Order: sequence, then structure tokens, then C-alpha cells
Amino acid sequence: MILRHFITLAILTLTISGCSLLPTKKVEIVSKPIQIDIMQPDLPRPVQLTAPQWYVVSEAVITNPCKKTISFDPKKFDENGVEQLKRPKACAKEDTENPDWPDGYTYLDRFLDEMKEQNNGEVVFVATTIGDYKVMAEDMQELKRYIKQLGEVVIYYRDVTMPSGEKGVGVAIEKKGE
Amino acid sequence: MAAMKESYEKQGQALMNMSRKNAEIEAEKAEYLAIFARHNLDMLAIKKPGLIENRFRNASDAVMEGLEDDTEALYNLSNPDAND
Repeated sequence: MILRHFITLAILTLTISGCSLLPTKKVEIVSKPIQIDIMQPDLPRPVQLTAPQWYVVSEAVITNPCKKTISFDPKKFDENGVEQLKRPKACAKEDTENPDWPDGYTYLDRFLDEMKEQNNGEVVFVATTIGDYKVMAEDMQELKRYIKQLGEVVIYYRDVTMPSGEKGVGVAIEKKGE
Repeated sequence: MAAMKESYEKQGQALMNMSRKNAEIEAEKAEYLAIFARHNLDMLAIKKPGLIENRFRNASDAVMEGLEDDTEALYNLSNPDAND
């Protein structure tokens, strides 16, 4: 009976500690960066804008030039063979480019006439000052700057997250005088 | 290690490109705003409203078209076939 217990105990001991008797395998830990493919989102559709029609008016008189009726000496012709004419320095009102304009017709008069024509004879319009136009133009440039710079940030993130070799393309910078 | 180095170099290069472009964008804005500083618009508008009217209209067209082109260039990054 004692022997049986002894054998059982010996088997149990060997079973529990058996793995420690086997040779160990060395585990090697290596740090290696892995390429993560980041899905690039669709960028928002481009803006579609319509430029407003500006009117600049003052009480300056609009020039109403004479119609071109005088030949050059010698005669001049354009590339299509049509004779080029010059304007006389003075002429009758009916010989001007806009004979229906009254004398001293100003930019303000023309603007008011145009507004009446657009609004069934009523004078109605939204006005701004030169100073406010400047403010608006400066604000527009500031918004443009922000949109463009934000675009560059988008390009930066695309460049650094796209697989090697692929590259984003920047927006064009307009340089005057080139 | 080499891959990490390459990644840092890539980021550094992209960051440099972005900074350069941003500086160009700032300069472009300053150039436009300098036009106002160089001219007395009030006086010009009083004396030559027709001339200033054309300038305002053309400048507005240019700004709107510029914004459309810039946002289209960005859009084309994710949709390269959009123009096809």
C-alpha cells in the first residue's frame, strides 16, 4: 500500500515538473516597423463660384467719343484689309458713339439708368464703399490663403502616409511677372 | 532602423515642402494686398470709375477662378481620373 502511494507520488511529481526537464528554446524578440496601409479618403468636390458684377460709380462724366470717320494719311488697313479710321476731335452729337446720352452724362447717371432697366423702373441696389470693398477683398485673400495652406497640410499627410514612391501634388502658386 | 530613418526623412522632406509652399502662399497674399497699399483707390474711383470697375470685375473673376482651380487640384489628388 505504501509502495503504491510512493509510486503514485513519484509519477505525479514527474508529471508536474516534467517540462522543466526538457531543453528550453530561446525566444528572440525583434522590433520591426510594419507598413500600415492607410486608406486615403475622397477629398471634397471643388468649389464652384460665380464672381459678382461690380459697379464703380462717381459723378465723373463719361467720355462720349466721336465715331471714327477720318482716314489716315496714308491710309491704314488691318490684317483683313479693312481700312482703319480715326476719330475727329470734335463732332455733332449725332456723330458720337452714344448719341442718346445727354450732355454731361455721368457714371452715376448710367448706373441709375441701368438699375431702373433691371428693376422695372425702380432704383434699387446694394451698395458698398471703397473701404468696405477693400475689407472684403482682404478677407477673400485671407480665406484663399487658409484654403491653400490647409490643402498643403492634406498633401503633407498624404505624402507621409502613402506607400513609397507615391506622392501628392500641390496646388499651383501664382507668381506674377513670370 | 533603416525603415524608421527613411520614414523620418520622408516626413522631414514633406514638412519642408509644406513650409516652403506655405511661405509662397503667404507671399502671394501679401502681393495682392500690396496693390491696395500702392494705390489711392478712392481717388481713382472718383476720377476713373470705368477703369476701376473693370479692375474690380477682373480681380473678382481671377480670385474665384483661382479658388476653383486650387480646390480642383486638391480634389484631383483623390480622383486622378476626374479630368479624363
